[in-house]
Amino acid sequence: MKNKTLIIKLFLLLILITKISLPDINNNSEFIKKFIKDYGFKARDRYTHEYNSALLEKTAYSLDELEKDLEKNNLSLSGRLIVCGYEEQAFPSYYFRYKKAEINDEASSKNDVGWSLRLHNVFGFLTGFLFKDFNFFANKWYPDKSSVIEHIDSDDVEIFESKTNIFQEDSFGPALQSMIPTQYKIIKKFKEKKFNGIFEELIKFWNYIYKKEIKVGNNQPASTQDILFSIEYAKHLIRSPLSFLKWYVGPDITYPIEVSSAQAQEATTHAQNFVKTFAENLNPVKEKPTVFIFCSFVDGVGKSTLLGNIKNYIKHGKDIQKYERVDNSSSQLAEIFKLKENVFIADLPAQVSHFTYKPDGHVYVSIKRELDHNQTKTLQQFTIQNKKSLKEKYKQNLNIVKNIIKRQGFFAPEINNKAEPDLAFLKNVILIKKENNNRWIPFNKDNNNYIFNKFNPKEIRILIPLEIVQSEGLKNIESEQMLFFKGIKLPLPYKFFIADLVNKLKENNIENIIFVDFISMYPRSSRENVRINYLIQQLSLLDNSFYSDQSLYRNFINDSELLYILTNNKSHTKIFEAFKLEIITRLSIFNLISKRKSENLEGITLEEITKNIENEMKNVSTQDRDLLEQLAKDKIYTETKKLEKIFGKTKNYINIQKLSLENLVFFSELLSDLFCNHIDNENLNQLWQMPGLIETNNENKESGALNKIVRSINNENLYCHYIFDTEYREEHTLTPFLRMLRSVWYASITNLFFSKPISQETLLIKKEIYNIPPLFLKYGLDNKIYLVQNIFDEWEEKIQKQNLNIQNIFHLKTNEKSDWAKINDEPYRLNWKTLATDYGLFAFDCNISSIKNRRKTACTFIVQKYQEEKTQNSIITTSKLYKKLKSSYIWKREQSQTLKMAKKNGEYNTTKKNRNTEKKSTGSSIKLGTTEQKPAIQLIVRLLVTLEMILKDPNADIIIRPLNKKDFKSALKLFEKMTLPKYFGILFEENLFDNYDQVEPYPSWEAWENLN
Amino acid sequence: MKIKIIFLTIILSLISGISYSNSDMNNTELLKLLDNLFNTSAIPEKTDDNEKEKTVINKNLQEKVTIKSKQTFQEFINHFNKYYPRVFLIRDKFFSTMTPNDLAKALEQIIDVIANKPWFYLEQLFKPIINKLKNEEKKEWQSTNYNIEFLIKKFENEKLSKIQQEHGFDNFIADQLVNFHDFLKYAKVDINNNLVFYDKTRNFSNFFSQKNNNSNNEISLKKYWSDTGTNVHFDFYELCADYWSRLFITSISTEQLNESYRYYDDLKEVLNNLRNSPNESKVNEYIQKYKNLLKLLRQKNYSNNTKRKENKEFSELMEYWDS
Repeated sequence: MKNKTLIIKLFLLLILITKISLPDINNNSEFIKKFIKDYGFKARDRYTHEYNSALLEKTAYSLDELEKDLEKNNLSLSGRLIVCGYEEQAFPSYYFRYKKAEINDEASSKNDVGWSLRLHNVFGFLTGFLFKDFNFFANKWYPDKSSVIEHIDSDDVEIFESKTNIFQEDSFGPALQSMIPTQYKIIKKFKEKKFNGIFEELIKFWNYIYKKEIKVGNNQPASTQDILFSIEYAKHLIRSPLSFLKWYVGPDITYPIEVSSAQAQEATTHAQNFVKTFAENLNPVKEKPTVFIFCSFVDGVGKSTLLGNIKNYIKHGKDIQKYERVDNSSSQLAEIFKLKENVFIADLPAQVSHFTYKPDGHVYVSIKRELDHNQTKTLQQFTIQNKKSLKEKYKQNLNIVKNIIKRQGFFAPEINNKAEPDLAFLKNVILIKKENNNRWIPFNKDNNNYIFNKFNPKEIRILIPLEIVQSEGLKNIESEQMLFFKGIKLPLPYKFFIADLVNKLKENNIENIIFVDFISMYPRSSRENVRINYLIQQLSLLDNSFYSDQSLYRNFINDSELLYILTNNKSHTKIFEAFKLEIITRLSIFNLISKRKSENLEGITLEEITKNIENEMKNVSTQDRDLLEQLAKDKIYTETKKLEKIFGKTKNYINIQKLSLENLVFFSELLSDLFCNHIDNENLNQLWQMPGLIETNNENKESGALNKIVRSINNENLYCHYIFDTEYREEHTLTPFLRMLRSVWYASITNLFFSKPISQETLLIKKEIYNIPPLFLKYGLDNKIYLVQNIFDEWEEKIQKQNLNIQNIFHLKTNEKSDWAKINDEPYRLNWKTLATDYGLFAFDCNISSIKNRRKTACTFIVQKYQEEKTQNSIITTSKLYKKLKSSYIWKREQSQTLKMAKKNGEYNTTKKNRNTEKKSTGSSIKLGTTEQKPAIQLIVRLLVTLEMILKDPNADIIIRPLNKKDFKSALKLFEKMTLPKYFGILFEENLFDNYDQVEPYPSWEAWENLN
Repeated sequence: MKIKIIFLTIILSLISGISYSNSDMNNTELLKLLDNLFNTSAIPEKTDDNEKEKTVINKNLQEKVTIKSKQTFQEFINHFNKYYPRVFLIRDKFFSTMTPNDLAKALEQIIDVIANKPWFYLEQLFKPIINKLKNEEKKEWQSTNYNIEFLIKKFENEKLSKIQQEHGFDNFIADQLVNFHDFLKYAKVDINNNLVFYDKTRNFSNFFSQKNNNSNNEISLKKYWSDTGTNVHFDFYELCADYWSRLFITSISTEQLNESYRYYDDLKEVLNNLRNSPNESKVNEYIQKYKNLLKLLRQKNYSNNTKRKENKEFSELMEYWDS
């Protein structure tokens, strides 16, 4: 018994000792857990990672403290005003307006994959939608204009209008269902004047869409991680005893008002209307000195902007042209501004900034934001005229910078010097590994520093300090274009801030306080973008292997791309490593801030903070590192599963993201080999001779259509239709290319229809069915992929009707003289621009887009029904489709009718007429296939099903998943039972293959598996 | 006078005809014709074997073309400001005798008018406006000598655009724009004389023959503009997109599936012409948006049809699935 007590005592002592000796471990592990738990993974969460519960709780309660501290200092708290803006462009108009003035500062950059997503704030707009009818009810219930809530310019938002149901359905998707009841509830609370109740309903709504991961249209998430601070802020407002004096809601009501070449006056109409309303209502309480305290949870909600707008309004009134640039520099201390007699405004730093870091420096922004029309034109002429020499200078400077880095590292003074921003920019280009895809060339002119786009010399950016740059500059997502000469500012201890604020209020004899709370829900892309750009540079400095393109800070074109990156073996590990590096870096910065006692407001240099972070990292225990590793791994696994559930079976993911252009080059080589070496037909052997690698020209061509003559290394002149980076994934640019390739390869393979085996490895083709000059996919010396065609003489004569059939069969565009070439005195179809390859012949006779009034096939019906149950962007696999068809009465009936017809028509006679596989919609021409035809048809089916597996129409509804044997097998059957009878007029009474499990793609499973 | 006009027209069409069909036309022949046309003193014949002389010929030729183009441009402005010319007249009478730079200016005028002052392009627009005027207002308008500004003040732009839509004038302008688009699609610049010509027999984008495609003598008008930093064609296609998006959205709102498909296809073509323009990323977003709207409408249409269960075979299958 004594022993037992002793053991328990010892055990308790041990726990106590562990707790006492490892306080930091607990803090670190807390941060790691909270940070990873809240970490948003989707592309739109890029700017929201700062808002984790570790930081939010601290911030929310500090706001409560602020009120108490002010009261303690004998200041009277008289109430609060709420400013709740939302981003109108989160759901822009469906009209493509000609030169319409609108706010357009969200960044989107073009890279090797395509255009990156613009990151809008969706939940803010949804919240605005909940208030859309408030003005109507306000007029009804509070006709004397005593309504506390006012929705500024709600009539101007198109999608708020009645009779826009289909557009609301399209935009808001599944979220619409949850919005309607919330809308009703908050209107009810409005009538009852229960404003805290409105916040309670909003919190419920925000929590619901966030926790349940509700989607809006196009499968986009309705909320991002930053909704958490809206929730925390709303909770603080509910906790506070202050009454609501006025509550303004509206689209972009606190956007900076200014006019520039890039932004016409009309773009900021809502902000202009609001500032007038707001400024005129700022009156002293009981005619005593009153301060309106502008406060917010985070930066970028329009707080300092509204103050700037008010100052401009007071000074210039309606003369918008004279409005001056709003200052972005947010101090870490409050600033007091006297508006008029007894009315002051105190501009507080965002509350969260007392607990996080702030990088400062310069950024490149479009000259259209800074210069007038004439200056812009002059500069554009300069870049057009001097682009060659500037490019040369760029190359020289790049080498200089590389040498400096080699000798002295990234912190060498020459490349971090404010006086030499060009070199600092080039240092960043190298640091974040953008050397190969950097489009921007730096230059100096008239004491200003610029960069221009080498693909479009008219696109020029100018270097401007962050504190005065227009919001487009703050939102520049190209990290290397932010030069942090002013270093990183760490916050003061909170108590210093409070003491300073109270002093300033006392100095101005202020007696009354009205809080102005900015709960606006705008994109987090302004101030947070600056932090992320710094973070990318910081992570690269800490770990040389970090590459933002292989991290969660890649500029994603959509969430399907994110899923692809996460599931791709090559990139998965890199994403994991980058994620871990980010967590430990953020933890180290968090600890640096927590320990800080200095009152110094100056920024710390990148070199110094890097050393500090490295030291902090050393203090992270192995235990915490293990915890971090495990949680990060689990998080990536969970998020990948979630994404798979949403996007795993969407068209964009399967048909575009999973597309491998390398596989297509391989297939092109296979076809060339087949027609050159395994077909007995001189003409075809000659036509299908593969050209050499493509020589690259000096122009840096972007992915897309080229339509130019190129030369191969064998000195062949070739017509190049398209050129693509292997990573390119922009659906709209890829679509015509993929369709062209599909139709020409389908047609080429169809030419095997009347072939006969003459040896084990050779087929004889006496005459082609379709005259097709082949299209080849070739690598260039620049490692890009080129779609090329040999060059032929033009066909000058009239095209016979039978030759034109090819257009209908393969859905080709137009019939122009130049579409045809003269080869061996016959017209050959040159132009393979295709309307669509997602229906009919190309889709197992499925055509869900058909609007013609004719009976649907069973396949069409099943696919339509399936998509109605899922979503319109869902695909159905061939295995699932075949399973559904087999149990379908309609399909069975269709099949038995086809067989009956074929039997009636007899066997296929290849010697007689009917050597054309043109479809017969009535099915009257379907005949029974003979044993002698089987080898050729088997090869066609294998080839075409292989083609379907590796090259899909972007809009394809039915798909064969890559390397999926079940799908492949089902596709063979679908092709045999649907495509062959309908489009080739042939049906085999017995199975086409003896054992479907043993049928392999062309050339084999092994070949494709090795390639992948 | 009339005879003179006929004579000039014949000569003009002859020049245009020659340059349309044979871009490698002998410079000397063309020069002669131009001299006749502009009534300038005859220039001695030159032979092609002398490069120096050839340069002189080209220089003279281009100068004359520039002068003529400026004249044509001015005639166009006078005509356009006074009358209501339609696309075919503009194309045939003015566009094919201008240099690319003058043509860009002319197109800018047309775009500006259609976008901002459609009543100067669309004569008919006034009829419904006038009908809406009260008797007193009509009198007042007459007293201002039928001043257009009076009507513009009476009806703000927004209301005018509604009237434009209600009376099908959007369709009319869209038709006009189609034909301007057709011109831009096939228009080329003869590098020798810097004159724009319109040749529908050969389409640049579909053209595969090496010898013609790489011709040093001609270049597509749009490419010429892009290379020289003129963006008027992008403005034009933005305007087209504006009109087609109106038609498309109306067809979606009224749930006209066939119409929607038609306008969607047109819109895609229009928007594709905005690739490589500053609006390229916006274009991608809009194509995706319209595609989604179309799918939604198609799905609605499908749901409505199947709900009726008119087809006995399918209803049987649906029952099977429901079970």
